[in-house]
Amino acid sequence: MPDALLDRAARSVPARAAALRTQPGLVVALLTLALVLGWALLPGVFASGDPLRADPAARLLPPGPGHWFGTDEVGRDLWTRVVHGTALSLQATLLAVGVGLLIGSIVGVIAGYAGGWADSLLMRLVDVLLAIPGLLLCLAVLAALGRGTVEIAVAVGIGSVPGFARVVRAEVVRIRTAPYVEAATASGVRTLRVLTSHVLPNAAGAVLAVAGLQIGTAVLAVSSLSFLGFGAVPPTPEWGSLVAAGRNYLATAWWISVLPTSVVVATVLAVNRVARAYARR
Amino acid sequence: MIPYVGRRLAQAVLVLWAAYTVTFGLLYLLPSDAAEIMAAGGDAEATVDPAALERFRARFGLDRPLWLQYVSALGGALTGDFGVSVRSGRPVVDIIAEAFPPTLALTLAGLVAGALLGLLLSLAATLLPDGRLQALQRFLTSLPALGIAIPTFGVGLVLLQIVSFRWGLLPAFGDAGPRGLILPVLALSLPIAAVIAQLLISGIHTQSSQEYVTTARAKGVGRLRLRLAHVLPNALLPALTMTAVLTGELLGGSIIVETVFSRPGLGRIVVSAVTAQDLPLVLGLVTTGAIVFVLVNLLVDVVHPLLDPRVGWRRA
Repeated sequence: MPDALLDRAARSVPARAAALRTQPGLVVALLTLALVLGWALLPGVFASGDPLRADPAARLLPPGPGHWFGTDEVGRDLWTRVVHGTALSLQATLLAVGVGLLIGSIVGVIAGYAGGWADSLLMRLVDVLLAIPGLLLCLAVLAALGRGTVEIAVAVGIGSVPGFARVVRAEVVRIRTAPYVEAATASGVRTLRVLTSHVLPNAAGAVLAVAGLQIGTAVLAVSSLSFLGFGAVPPTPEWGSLVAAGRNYLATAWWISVLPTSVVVATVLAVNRVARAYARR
Repeated sequence: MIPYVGRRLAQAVLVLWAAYTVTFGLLYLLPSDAAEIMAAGGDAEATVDPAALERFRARFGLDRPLWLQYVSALGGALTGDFGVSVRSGRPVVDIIAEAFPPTLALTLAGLVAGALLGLLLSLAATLLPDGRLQALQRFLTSLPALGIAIPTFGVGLVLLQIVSFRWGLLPAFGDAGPRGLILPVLALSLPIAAVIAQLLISGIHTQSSQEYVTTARAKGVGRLRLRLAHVLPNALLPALTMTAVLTGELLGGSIIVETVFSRPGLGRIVVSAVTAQDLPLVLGLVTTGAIVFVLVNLLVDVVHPLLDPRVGWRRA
């Protein structure tokens, strides 16, 4: 891998900054992600109010200077609720990708490294998971586990296992036959150590690229499931449930549903843009 | 041809059995006690009286060992009996048969509309003459990336808000004949159309640089004819396979669209079954989804060799 190392060293910080200047779209995407991360980590800085405080005098106000995103049917400030709901939505998303990455990697490594019947059996199992429509698979997991943000994350994570398992397996099969892995095996390095210090580090690049693209899909899946009503219990703000709460006021107060939805769309667009730039590196 | 179709059919049956088994495993092994959550009816706080729980177990056969429950459930499923819904006591098959037609109609209409819209967008994005319309072309090419980022419920809600409430053009809720189907189908098909258009646009670009295209151009084939008669058929085949894969997305999308537009169908049944943790009904619904997915893919597998002579029936 010396070529890759040299290549990486050559791409210094100023060089990367120069590359960014030619891609305004990527810059916007990175700034959007930074903003959303800021909402998740320091919600109080971006919206100092209380997301649960209702003000009966300010019910169903349209977006304006006092309330950037307007207010909902009991007079809660929607901007504050979206900002404070970010942490929950992002946690669920990252947990979902983490679950998929972990289980998918274990399945993929065993299948790719062991080969033979273990490989066939595991990959057939993965194919079967793909034959169950994604949302229905998630709903089956939710039927077993019950409602909640963590449960949604686990459900979406299990749904993404097939994708991860396939990529990891393909990478492991490719790397397993590389000369340096054969040399390590021949010189008596134990299997577990070959995997952790030779195979996994070299598979990481391709797998992380897939994980990046999976984040956008997971944001959509998590918000869809909480839109259907399986997420956080009502007064707690969370992107998908905010959208669902506004459904009944769509005719008179479009902003309650549409603005949280556009936050979801902007996040997914930004994540996908950054993930594609990372994958193309 | 017949051995090929027979082999595919056997594979499909095997996949369905495995999907049923995996779902059964998820539903009955993940919860600490399947009987307890069902008896509680999806209310995590509720505590069930132990004597009532025992009666419940005996009534639904949940007091038997799990493997025995699985064997009898599978035996029933093979003869078309998916047991009874825990909540309503009605046979699962009856509930699904009742709610299935509107969902199937919505899904199929979404599939056709998604494929057509995707095709139209990809043609518009690639057929425009080079030069003056470059900006429009770039805009059209970037549309699919946007379409993929919008959740189905978002498309549905925005359509409802603008077309039904602001313009008052189409009915907002319920099943009001073909006019009531327009918005739900549009909401369902736009994300699918985005995926298909993305695949077709990249396919058309890849095919355009192939040697047969250069040859055809050298022989004087016109621009439009070249694109429609030479490039497009070759770019369409991967999209056909993708469309079959997208059936799964469509079924999930139907559940969401039915919720957005308050339409009757499987969506309402699925959401209430999952909320109430009605496991036999959920198992029946997931199996129904898998059957539709496997059948559509089987159909495409059988049709594909007819359209592409390179994919022989003897192979795969």
